[in-house]
Amino acid sequence: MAVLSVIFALTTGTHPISPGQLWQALGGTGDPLSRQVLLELRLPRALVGFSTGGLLALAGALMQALLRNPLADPYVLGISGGAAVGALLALLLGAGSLVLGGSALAGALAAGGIVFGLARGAGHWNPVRLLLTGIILAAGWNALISFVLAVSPVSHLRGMLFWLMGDLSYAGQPYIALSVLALGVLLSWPLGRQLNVLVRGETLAGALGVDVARLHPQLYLLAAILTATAVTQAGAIGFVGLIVPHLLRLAGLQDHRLLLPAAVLFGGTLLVVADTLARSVLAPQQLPVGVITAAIGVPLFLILLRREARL
Amino acid sequence: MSHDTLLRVSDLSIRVGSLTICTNWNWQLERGQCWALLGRNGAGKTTLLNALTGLYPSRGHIELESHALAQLSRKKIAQRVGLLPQDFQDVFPGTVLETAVIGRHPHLPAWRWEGTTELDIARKALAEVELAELETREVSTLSGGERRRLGLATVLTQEPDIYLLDEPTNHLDLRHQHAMLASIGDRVRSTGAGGIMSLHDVNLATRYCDYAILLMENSEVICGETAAVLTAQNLSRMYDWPVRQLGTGTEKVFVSG
Repeated sequence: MAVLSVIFALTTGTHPISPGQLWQALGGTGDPLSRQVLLELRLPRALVGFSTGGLLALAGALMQALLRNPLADPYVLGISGGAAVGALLALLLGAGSLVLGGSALAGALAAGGIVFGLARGAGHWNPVRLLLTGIILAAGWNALISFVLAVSPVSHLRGMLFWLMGDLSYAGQPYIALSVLALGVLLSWPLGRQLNVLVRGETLAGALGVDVARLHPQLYLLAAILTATAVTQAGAIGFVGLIVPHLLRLAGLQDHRLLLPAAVLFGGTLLVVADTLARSVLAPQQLPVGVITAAIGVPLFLILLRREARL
Repeated sequence: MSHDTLLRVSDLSIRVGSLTICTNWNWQLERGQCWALLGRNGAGKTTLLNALTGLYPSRGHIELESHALAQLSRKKIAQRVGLLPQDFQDVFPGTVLETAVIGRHPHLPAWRWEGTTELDIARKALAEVELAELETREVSTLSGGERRRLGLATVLTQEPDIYLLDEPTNHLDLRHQHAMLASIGDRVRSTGAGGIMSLHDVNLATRYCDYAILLMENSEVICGETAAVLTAQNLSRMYDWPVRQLGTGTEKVFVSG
């Protein structure tokens, strides 16, 4: 399914390319224009989409387990808010994409660091306190975002709104994000069975041999780095981190050893498809990809939820 | 040192906020013993059970099978000590069998998946608490009493040497209260394990436990054989409510007033 979505992304667009041409281009033959569009524009963009979706879905699954809250998503602790403030300030100053990325990353890490510091400073890690700290800080970041939007000249607003809704067109090369994603999978997968225990309560997890005091910060750091990488690359794309882990849980994947890799594949696929639609449905007009992820994710989720209720 | 001692507590002091549960408490749990833990609401029964497995900080020394508890990893402790928490928060879906089998977690290397051996142990535990037919049921559809029995099945699947049970009879009907305590007692005596369970029903304690720990006021702790320490006088003082004894021996029953 992930491979099919990439092929879909590669062949769809203003310059149509048939699967046959795709094969030729990848093989080094075919007409030069198609080759160029494919290798320099669409392939990197598809990989950016896949890595972003994978990062967000994995971060979401980890965050839900950490907070033991099905409503948690990668942004609930305000990491995207910090990134957004950083990015908007860069846009306000008319910075290039490199500075934009750096600024967003700095914001995301600052936001993550503040929550981590406050939650640790309070001694024992407590998901409820962590959640409250994050939500309050997220509200603070939102106020800052509104402030920056309010003082920005009208000519900058469109770009800012696109960034806030999530947009893959700023992204450059996907390789850093793909490496972070691979690292995230490698580090989180061995924690799978511990996560299965953790979601059933901290006392029980402790009694069953999980070192909760160590696992909590590990999960938090992992989720924060994954989220920061994703938002730095593509802005605050909504729904993927919340909905993908849930769809998979509803579909029967409770075991985190299956859920985590599945979330990466499905999250990546969903975002590649959504981004392809975002740039082709109203072409040459490009839509923010967040609009499409919501348009696909919300009905799909409601249908599965209804089916679940009827069982 | 005798290997019959599962848990040895020396000079133990536990505090929660302004409450001191015990100071310089000495106590030990031998193989085959079943202890009742009694005390009024808020006396610190849950905290004491958590402290005995190192999940709540305490001052003093706890020795688990002649190893210092503080030196052992959580995993090593969990291979020997099982804890039934007072309540469960199931926020994510899962089936009855999936929930019971996580009891094997401390015994499996990180990379190993639960196989038929683990599932068989979990199924046996589910049968012991009469949940065998419900193994594919979603946990969220269980009643309070069924959920309680599933919690016990998870601890039984863990196969520890020491069973710390926090109000195991909560939510259970009369039949299952007795069935559960009888099966715990059998398990403890037949496998040479040890058990401590907090209870609110004094008469269940006199019937199923040979020993009792009473958490009194002013961090006083009374421990000893059930017959000796569960007296109308001690109970009246502990609950700050008049308690009378009717009958003697196996017919002994405590009533209020």
